[in-house]
Amino acid sequence: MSQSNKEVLLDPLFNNNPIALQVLGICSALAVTTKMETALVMSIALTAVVTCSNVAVSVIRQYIPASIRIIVQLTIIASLVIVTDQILKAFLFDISKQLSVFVGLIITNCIVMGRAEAFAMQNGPAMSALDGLGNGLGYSLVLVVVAFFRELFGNGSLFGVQLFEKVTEGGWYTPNGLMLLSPSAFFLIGLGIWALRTWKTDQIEAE
Amino acid sequence: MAQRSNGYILGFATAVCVVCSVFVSGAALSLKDKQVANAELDLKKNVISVSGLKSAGADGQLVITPEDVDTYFKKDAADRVELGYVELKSGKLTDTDTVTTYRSANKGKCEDLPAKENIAKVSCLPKYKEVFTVYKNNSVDRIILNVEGKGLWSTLYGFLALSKDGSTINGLTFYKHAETPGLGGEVDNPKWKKLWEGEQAFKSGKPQIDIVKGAAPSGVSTDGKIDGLSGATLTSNGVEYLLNFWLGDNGYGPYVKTLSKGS
Repeated sequence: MSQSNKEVLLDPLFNNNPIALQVLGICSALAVTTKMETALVMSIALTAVVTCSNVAVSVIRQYIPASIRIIVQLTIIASLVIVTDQILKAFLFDISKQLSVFVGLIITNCIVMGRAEAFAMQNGPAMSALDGLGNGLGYSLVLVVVAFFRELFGNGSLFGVQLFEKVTEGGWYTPNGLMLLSPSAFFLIGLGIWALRTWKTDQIEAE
Repeated sequence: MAQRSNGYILGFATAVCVVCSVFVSGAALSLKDKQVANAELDLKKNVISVSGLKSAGADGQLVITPEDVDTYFKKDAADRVELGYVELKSGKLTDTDTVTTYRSANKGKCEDLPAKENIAKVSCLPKYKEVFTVYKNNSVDRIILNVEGKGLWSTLYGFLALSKDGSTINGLTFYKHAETPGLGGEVDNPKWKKLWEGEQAFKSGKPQIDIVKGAAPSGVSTDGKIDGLSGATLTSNGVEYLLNFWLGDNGYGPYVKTLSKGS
């Protein structure tokens, strides 16, 4: 893998993370991260959609009339999201019930359209695929980290396996109910951004 | 990018739409059988979850497997669930053939329902509606009603289990809704669902379900008063209305009355 390919793939993980640096896609990051399981399935779904949409947009980028490019991108993304939702309903019914509307909301997830518009419209399909994959993974990384803390401290479990015995079930751990509510995701993402910017100081915006 | 002609733009847009719609409908059609099977399995799992046939495991969680569904929906098992139909207006049980014939002849036909009485805001009141009868050791143990009604965002679809004389609530579960996760979505919370067990559904013949804000008065625990869901008043109201509607005269009321007489 050449240097630039590697950059395209790995940059979105830490250097240019779609959630932590660009602060996109927050809505679903709040909603589906109370459990590792849902966060993981959502991450896979979004990564698949953003990769496929990037490839599709990139393949036809030279033929898309500039005046209707956004709506064309959206049509492609929406189709992919519906198909993803259908696949989840067919093969992972219980999880798709928990994700409920949020799979559908991938359509409006700014990361997907942002990458189609900013990257796939200018680059070839292979590079676009890497870019989509990278951004999907960057999103996934944040989701999984947030879900890890929320499920562990909110429910004392990971992937549904009870690690801390809860007080209500005769154990020692009093679950932190705040962790299961949406604001905790804000706190966690905020803390995450703080940590990331302490590590990579070039991400701090100039005053 | 060069300026394109209007014809090109229109043609391009049409082509994109056609390709995308073929893609989407192809996926939807090819996966439909599996989805329908999933939905049906999920429905039956929910029926069993309020049937009381299977009790929770050591960890307090009730897990229902596809095998359980097969076991309890078997026709000749001693512990089983049987699907039947009730003619809502008369409260009479009706055999499946009559209902199938009626339904295929009157697709989507609804009974008259004055808007004022439609407190659950149901979109269609059918002539016949499902009722599941739960048998334990070959004798009737519970009946399960299929209820629905508007919450805040969505229609809630669920099952209400009553004791065999129709007086006491044995369980409530919702199998389909799109209420706000964490707020109205808490109708799925096992702890909240447990509150329903043992409540008296009627007071002098009228449904008396009342979801109160905050905690219901303690002490009297079977008076049909249930703790509201915090942050979800409209969903709570929706649940209250839909239960009172389906237990009332426009819903299963006439049928439930025959149960109390029969026993």
